[in-house]
Amino acid sequence: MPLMKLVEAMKEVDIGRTVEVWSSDSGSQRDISRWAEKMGHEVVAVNHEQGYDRIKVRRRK
Amino acid sequence: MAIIVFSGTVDKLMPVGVLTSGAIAMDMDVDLFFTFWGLTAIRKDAVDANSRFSKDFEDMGAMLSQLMKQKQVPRWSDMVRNAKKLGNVRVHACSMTYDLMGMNKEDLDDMVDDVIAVGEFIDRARDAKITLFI
Repeated sequence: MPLMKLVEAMKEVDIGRTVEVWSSDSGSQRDISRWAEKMGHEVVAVNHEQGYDRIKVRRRK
Repeated sequence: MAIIVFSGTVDKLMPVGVLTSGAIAMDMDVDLFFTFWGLTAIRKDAVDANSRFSKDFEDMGAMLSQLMKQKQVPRWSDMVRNAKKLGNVRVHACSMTYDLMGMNKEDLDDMVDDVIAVGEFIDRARDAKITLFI
């Protein structure tokens, strides 16, 4: 699950750093945006590629 | 979030893994109460080898198992184990079913935290914002 991978990765990086998720799950962009808002992080970029999305999130706290 | 896991087939256990993961991601605590067929699904000898499918969709079982393997979907049990690592997930075995089936602690997978009766589960679940029966 892309969101779970992100949750794990977010614990590893320092505040202010970004993590980019590459996901072929069509729900990921909305899911991750909502999660980020709830958790106080920031979605800094969303790129749609062929068959997957790249969602970049900055750890804010 | 509190889920009563009554079912023991993979198609119904998958949402248990997915919903537990989602709840942990959203910073909620999770209580899982495995009872009846659910309890048989967390036996050591069945937890990771389970390929049972609901009777009403039995004809699609093989195809779905194949798809899940192909798309590298994790097992429901591994989703729960992973969620336990990331957050507060408590896995309870129902004592009534446990006694009925003559189980021992060693029969149950390591993901199980305790064997409790319905009263304790209800008391834990009473404040949950989401309660589900699967």
